[in-house]
Amino acid sequence: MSISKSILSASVMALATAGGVSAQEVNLQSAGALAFDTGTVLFVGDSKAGVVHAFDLGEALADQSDYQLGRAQTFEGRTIFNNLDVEIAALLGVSAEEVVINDMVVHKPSKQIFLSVHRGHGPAAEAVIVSVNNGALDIVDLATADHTLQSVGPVPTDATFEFGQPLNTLAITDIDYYEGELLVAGLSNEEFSSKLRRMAYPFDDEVSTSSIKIWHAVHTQYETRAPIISQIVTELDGIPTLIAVYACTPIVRIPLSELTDGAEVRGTMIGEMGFGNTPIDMVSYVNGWDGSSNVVVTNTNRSAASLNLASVASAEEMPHGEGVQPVFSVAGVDQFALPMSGTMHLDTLDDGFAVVVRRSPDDARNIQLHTLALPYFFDRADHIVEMNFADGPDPFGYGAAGPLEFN
Amino acid sequence: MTSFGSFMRQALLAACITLPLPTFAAPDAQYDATSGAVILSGLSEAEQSEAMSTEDALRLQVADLDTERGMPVKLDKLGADIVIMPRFALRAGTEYILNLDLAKTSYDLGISLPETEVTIPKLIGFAPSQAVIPANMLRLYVQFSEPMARGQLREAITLIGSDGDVVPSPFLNLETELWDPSQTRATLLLDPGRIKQGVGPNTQAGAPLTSGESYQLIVSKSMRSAAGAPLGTDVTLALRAGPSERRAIDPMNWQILTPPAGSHASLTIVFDRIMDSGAVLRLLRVQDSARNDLRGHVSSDAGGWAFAPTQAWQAGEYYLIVDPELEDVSGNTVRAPFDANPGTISATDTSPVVITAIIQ
Repeated sequence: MSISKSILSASVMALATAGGVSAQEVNLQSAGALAFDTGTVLFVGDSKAGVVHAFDLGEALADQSDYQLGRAQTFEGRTIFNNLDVEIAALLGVSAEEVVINDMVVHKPSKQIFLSVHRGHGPAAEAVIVSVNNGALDIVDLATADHTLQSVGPVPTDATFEFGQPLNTLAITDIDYYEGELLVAGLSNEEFSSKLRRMAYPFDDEVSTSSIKIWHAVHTQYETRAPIISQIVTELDGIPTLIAVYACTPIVRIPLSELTDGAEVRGTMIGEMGFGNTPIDMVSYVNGWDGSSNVVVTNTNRSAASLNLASVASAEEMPHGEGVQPVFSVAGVDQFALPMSGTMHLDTLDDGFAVVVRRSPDDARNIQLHTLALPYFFDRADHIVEMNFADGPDPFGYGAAGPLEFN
Repeated sequence: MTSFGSFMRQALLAACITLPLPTFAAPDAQYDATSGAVILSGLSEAEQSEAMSTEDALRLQVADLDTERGMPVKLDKLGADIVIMPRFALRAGTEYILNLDLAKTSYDLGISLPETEVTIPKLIGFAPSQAVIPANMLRLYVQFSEPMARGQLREAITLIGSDGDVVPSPFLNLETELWDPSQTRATLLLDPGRIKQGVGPNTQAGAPLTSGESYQLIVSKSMRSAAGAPLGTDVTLALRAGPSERRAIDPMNWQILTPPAGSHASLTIVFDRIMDSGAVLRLLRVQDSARNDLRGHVSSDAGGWAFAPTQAWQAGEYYLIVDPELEDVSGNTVRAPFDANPGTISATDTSPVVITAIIQ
């Protein structure tokens, strides 16, 4: 009996080996911040390996333009998935508690949604990229994608000292692509550094760093260094500008041209996001109603806020000087609060819709993948308004639009 | 063995071989720990063929998940069995269901993976461990005996003031937790916005720690290891805050104790403050007179630092190289204090500070 069992095991092993080890497990030690270039290249921040990966997904990307996203005219979004964590858990063969959704990005040309996911919470958690393909969940086969990587983490020392394994890591919190370059924000577990990493893509093994100091106080009595947690590059009055949110919540504006290698930069502090809070995502969008350009910032502990880029461009530095009263929790450049709560991840799909991973407004246990109509990131069904009742008033003619039927 | 016995054995074997498979054979799914595959047996040839060729006929998933979705699997025939190789390794201590949905019948076969033995994690240290820490402390480390699960720090760690009240939001509320690669050491950043003078959070909520006050850092008994085992008991770490440290690091204020030439004794530094216990191990180096890095063993309790060379000291000059990124426990560096006067932080000056030590 034992002989036949071990023969079976040997045969099974042979079958298992024939399947090969997927390169996804080999390449990705962890999967965090995500970004796309303007083509088909997906960037994945891998904090554990201290690298940014670039995967050219090419043909693997599937056009989603026939997938209905909702009805913007009547402020109706679409729930692509309820219990997204459970659905991913089923795919990964673990309980829902073992699923961690680290980031989400949309490939804008195809409107395909990608999620970076960990299977488990331990150091050996498997990292995978999951895509949403016309409403179906798939694990992206990274083995077939052209792959390059760039180291951004702690530089390994030549270990002349013996003190055990080096313990320092860089948690990559954001990646942004802008005109052939990547900007990588991160936070070290042993240093409080304001280094901003900037590198060309395709990677050429050169990472330039700028140290950004910020005028940090309302009184401008002090300056300090701080790591950027989230950032976006956008044009303000035609000038490519980095808008960044720091770990201690100020919003800073820096022209990209100032960020040369080794440069010493003082960013202009134009606002504060409030304490007890750090930013999750910064996403730019155009308000189709008034044509204005904006950036929306989602937060760990506050509602999302939208910054109008014209206001950002013209914002004065935070007031300073003797006699200035302390600022309130949120200050500086105008921030328009958006009715998004429980937002875990955000990106825009197209001019009319954004997509969020969020806790359902009805049941916080339900993690949804849901679309929201722009420009107000607002879903009428999330709110109790008379217009939603069958026999309620219908001043805007929503009722006449009829119920939505999704493909 | 008698010839009769031999005959009987032959007959029995022949009977076993020629007996048709009982039509009531129930399908069975077994986990094969060696390969990580699930072996599905007991199917008729027709059932095996149907299961192999029909899309979605087989679904492997964690029991009690409320979805129709299964794991991606690879199927192979092995004799009368089907070898089901899941894309991801099945988890110990987890119940799986193999759902077999065939034209004429369907089966739900349970597969139960035994628990592996897990070690109860312990909190084995924290830094800085000095009796009094600066009230503007930026960073502290908590060390566990086992790899821990991410995503619990915000819930599991509480700071209590001497009045017994919880200190509200003392730590930077990051989406990403800061761990070392083995996930045994967590870095807790006190909210820098509350430490930096004159910033909104500082002026509004004040600093998290006040000089002269005592605090308790409580790590919840529910904090789990990566393997799922909780600490079991609450762990309380006592902290006492002293005056804030708002000066840049000045190595001239360090006491450097040089060992005698010919010995392997340690070169020792006594700091004038508490350094960052993580960074201090990496960001101080010793070089010989030819400016080559020396090999040796480094240890530090953040209040002092000791370097024992692999080869004996020679009489002459050695250099202690202080990396400009080195921080004390309040985030001050050799370049500047954490909160500096405007125009005084020089990011372009990234050259290390070099201290000469003469060994006699």
